[in-house]
Amino acid sequence: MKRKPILLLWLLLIVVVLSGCWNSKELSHLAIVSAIGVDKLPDTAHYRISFQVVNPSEISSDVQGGGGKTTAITVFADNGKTLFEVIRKASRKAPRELLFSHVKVLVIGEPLAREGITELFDTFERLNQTRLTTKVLVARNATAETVLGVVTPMEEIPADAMAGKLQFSASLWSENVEYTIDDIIRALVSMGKEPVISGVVIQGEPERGATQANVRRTTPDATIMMRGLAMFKEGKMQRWLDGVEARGTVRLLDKVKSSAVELECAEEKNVLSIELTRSKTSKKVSIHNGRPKLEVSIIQEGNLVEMKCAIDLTRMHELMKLEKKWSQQTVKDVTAAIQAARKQQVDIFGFGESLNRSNNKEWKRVVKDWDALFAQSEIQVKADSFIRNTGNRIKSYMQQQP
Amino acid sequence: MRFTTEESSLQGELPAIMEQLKLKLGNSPDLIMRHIRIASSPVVIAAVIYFEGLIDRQLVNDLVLCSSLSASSGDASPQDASAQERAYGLLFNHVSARGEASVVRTLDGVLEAVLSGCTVLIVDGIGEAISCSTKGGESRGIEEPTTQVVIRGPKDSFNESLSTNIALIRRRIKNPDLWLEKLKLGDKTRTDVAIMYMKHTVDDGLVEEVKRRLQRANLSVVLETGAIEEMIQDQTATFFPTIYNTERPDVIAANLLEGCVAILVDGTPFGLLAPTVFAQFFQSPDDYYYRFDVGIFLRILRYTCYLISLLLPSVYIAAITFHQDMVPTTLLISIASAREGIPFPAFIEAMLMELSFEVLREAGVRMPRAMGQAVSIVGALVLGQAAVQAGIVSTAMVIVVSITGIASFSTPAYNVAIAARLIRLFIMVLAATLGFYGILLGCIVLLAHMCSLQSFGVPYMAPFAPFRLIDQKDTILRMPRWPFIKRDRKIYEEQAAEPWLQQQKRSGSSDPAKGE
Amino acid sequence: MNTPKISAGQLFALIILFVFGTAIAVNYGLDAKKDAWIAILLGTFSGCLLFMLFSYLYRQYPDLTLTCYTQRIMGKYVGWLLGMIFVLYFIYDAARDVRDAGELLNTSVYDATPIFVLNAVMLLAIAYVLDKGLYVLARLSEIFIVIIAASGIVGSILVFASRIIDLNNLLPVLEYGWKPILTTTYPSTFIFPFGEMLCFSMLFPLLKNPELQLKTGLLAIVLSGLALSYTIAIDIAVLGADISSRSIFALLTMVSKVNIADFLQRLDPIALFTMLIVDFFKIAMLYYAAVIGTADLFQVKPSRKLVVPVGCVILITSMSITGSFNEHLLEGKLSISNFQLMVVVGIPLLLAAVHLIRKYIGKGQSVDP
Repeated sequence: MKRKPILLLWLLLIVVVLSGCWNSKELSHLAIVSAIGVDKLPDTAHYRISFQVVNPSEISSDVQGGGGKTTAITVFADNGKTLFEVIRKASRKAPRELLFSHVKVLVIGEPLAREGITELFDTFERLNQTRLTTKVLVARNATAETVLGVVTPMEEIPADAMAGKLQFSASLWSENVEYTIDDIIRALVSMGKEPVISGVVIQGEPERGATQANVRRTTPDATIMMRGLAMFKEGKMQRWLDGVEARGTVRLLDKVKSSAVELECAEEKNVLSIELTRSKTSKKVSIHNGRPKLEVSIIQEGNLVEMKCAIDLTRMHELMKLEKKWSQQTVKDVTAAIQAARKQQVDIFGFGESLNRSNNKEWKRVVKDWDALFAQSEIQVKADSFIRNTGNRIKSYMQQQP
Repeated sequence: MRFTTEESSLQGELPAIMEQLKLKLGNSPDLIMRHIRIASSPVVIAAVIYFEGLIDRQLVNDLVLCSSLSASSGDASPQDASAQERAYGLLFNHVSARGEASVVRTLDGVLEAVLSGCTVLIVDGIGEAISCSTKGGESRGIEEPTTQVVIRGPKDSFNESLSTNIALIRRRIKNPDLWLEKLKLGDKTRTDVAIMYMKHTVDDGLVEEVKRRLQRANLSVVLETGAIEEMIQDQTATFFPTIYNTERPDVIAANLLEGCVAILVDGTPFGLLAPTVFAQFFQSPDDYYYRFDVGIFLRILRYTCYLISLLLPSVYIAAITFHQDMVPTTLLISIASAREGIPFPAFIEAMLMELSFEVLREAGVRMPRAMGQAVSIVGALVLGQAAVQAGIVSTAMVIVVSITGIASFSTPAYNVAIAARLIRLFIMVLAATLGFYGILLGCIVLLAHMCSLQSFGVPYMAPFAPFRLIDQKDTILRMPRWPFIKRDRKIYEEQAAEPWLQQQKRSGSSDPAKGE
Repeated sequence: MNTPKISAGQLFALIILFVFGTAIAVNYGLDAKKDAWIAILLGTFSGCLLFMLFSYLYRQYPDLTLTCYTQRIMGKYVGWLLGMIFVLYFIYDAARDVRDAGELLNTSVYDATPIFVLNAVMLLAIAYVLDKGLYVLARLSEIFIVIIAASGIVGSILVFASRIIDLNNLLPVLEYGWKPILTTTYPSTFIFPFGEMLCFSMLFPLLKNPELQLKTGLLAIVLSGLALSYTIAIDIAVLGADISSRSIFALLTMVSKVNIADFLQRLDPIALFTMLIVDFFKIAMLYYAAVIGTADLFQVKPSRKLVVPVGCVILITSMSITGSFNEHLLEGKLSISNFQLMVVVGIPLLLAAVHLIRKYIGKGQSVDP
């Protein structure tokens, strides 16, 4: 009687020990997948899925660990109807079991994106290894497989390089958005919002990017670069948004963290640069006579950091003139973005959602033909700009001393 | 050898008694018997008996001198008594004036007195003997503590002499409430054991219980407090010590003042304290001597280290074999690259390293001090470098094992640290079979086990579970001294009160029906 | 009674851990989509009323467990039968929670490990604790409540710090009106977890301070209800109503989004084990209630003899209860609105009614049958 607890404890241990180690996986039997690429095989229902797998011994910081014998990553690719099928099929090529819990980036080939991505993410939600925080990109003018194969300098794992480029271009340049799988799913599900996904291109010669030689050069033959935003409608990609349109879109999504803005100087052809430091976009939607009215107001702050002309910044009204000009330009950007979206009848900015939040009943009435209504909506964009300082100097050296 | 129960008296001729004594002690040459004349007309002979080495030579010589002089001094006994009786009376007066003396009436009494360092005077023809305390002989001086080192605080520690140890405590608490009781334990060793407590602070039931358990213990050999600890603890089937031991008089004094009972044993520099709670093993005396903020920091550090020493290898195993997704990518890749080419699974690798570390540690402890260093150098080279370079173990594992090892040294109490070392191996097995789930269940069971323990009726995990806010100020935290002012209460009196009854019942009859 | 009694603080900790139990993992409240948090608040409120009913019954028989006073109120045979229903309910509910834990582990990490093993190991650990006595469980709860509270606070800070909360996901409030909220609350968030607190009626006689029982209980229910509602609101704010209502374990998905400086991320195993700890206590409470109930009904003494047999029954029930997790969840919803509702609300109401009637009829003569 008294010894029973101990007995139970032993029983517990025995059960555990005998139970073996079903889920135990030795690291030396695992291949860490850092990125997944999905392409569509033309004219079939098959996907071609590629896995970027890390070669740990190449990345070792250990001095005697060697390295330099192979590339830091290897890409395995196979075809199949579902993602999971290919994951298992890949075991024919990969010497180890693929581990998906560290996938940083999911790259979608452009042809596939145009055909539709709606059904792509289901398995990412279901499997326990894959994560919703994986970043999503669309390979522009290239297959995802080639994008995954490009060896990158500085970051040995290209997936890290891509994630880094996406992160910093989104926060410093603001032409991209850093969207993860769950963001895309939310936008796909929502009636009042459609997804946008950042694009990735290979600059240079893709074939040469896949060899170690690529990083042995000071100017790599092939470089991965973030460019543009892919605009989706009902899961199908419509067109690329670039430059002004892309910036306007990021503004409207209120994802701008910082950016550089160029303004023209007063009369000359010269320009000046403003570092955007803070931007806040608020959207308001109302329905007048069955027609939506979209009101966008932006408050932005920035510093003047470069000037190629001699404006006398000591005079207040010069600065105010610049602020005004900046506001005008922002309004132009944003309007361009809305125009582009209206043309395709896609509400990528979530105006529908804000209508739902502010006027739930009205939204329910218009939800069915929101896309059409959005296309003929009335737009009102307003921007307030503040240039908070002008860097370390007030007067420019180009300004003639009187 | 058992002392016979039948009383063999001291009646009879002196030489016969002496002969009997010699026989009983197997003619031990260190038994010294000196004959002195204590009266001249008529001649009365007395024997002085003692063990060489157990006595203070100076005292014995004094005694002998004064005994032989006693005859010449005045008359104390009634005239009608015989010469022997008169001499005996004079002798007794003299001797008791010089130091403690008592009367022994049996041969066994004589033996016991002699064996515990007394000098016995037997006067021919009297059925009694006088035993004088002449304890002495060689003993170690009071030195610095070796197992519980502090940076700031008293530097004295117990030695092997019971009376010295008691004095060390008495010197710290000059209070009539400090009571002392002495027992002799061990059928064979007849070791002196002292129980000390603060009369009006301690729970009376606790003292009774300690005494009852000591008497019930039925020990035959008491050479160290370990034997007593094992016999009087509440539970045997546990890795955790439920009685605190220390060689520092200041620790004992502090705990006595809080209502503990101290048990000191002759012949060992370690004293026991009961009841004990788990938190006590993480208290180092210098926590109280530093500023309180430092004290708190160090306490938290120690608990953290204990957790590390208990769990780190298991967490490492679980993380890299079950939960690779938890490890940050960069770290995972570097661990993976370090493990490339390692022939063993992570669990075997960890066990290998843990065991070799344990071997190294044990060897380091047992080696003569001069060779200990050689062991650690060889160990560091073999384990740290050669094994890694040969690709037998990974660098990550070496780091994990060494952190674990270092962390386990930071627990102030060795016996609790050793518990963690044992339990660690079990949890590693659980981690290797079920990952974090195994560790979690292991920890729950371990905590449940600790919660079910008690030390003399006080729950072992008090004051965490059962929780008592007022006692939190001296557990993980060491609050500043001003709230300590009202500190003369009995420790954990409320909890002690209830399981207390249970304790007595349990030891009295059958075990309680738990869970009712 | 010679084992240590349960203090008010321990009762408080036990109730909070119990309410969190599986509720924090498997959230039925999400049927109300965005407004799940309101449904849980409503459930909490009704849970308080239900707890008052249990307390009322307890105060009529302060020394008896549920199964005992059922026999007092309803007579020997009917009472015994009702007591048996209670015990079966406890076993069933414990088995469900064991299964929940097993499935949680199985879908999140241990996909290759048989659920039977996961369940068996869990039940063995609980059996060990119960074998030591309820007081050990109570003390354990005092330690773990701190751990749970700490991980809740740290978790919240991490979620806030990684700036993934978008309160817009919670708007508009009451998008679909009150109807979905009410249908979710009654019975789902009401019975689960507040109705299940019926099992606490089995330990009330062990309380050290019976006069604090109601106050402690209500405080614990309100606090845990608020915390549950807060958790689910955060889930929705991070994931959106759609993803969180589709995910089986919304909290897990939510925590997996935490990312601070690319280092503190992938914390879902920690969340997973937090859920397991609270589930542990819930199973343990139900298990305990089942053991004591069985001992009462079949006059087994000491009751700890039954720990292992009842554990085996729970284990087998947990395995045979359903074939798949979907079926398990569906069955949960069904049983909540039928069987469970009847047991935890219907029978106690009946007991209270019969007790009152007896009291009025029996005025003048002795109350005890």
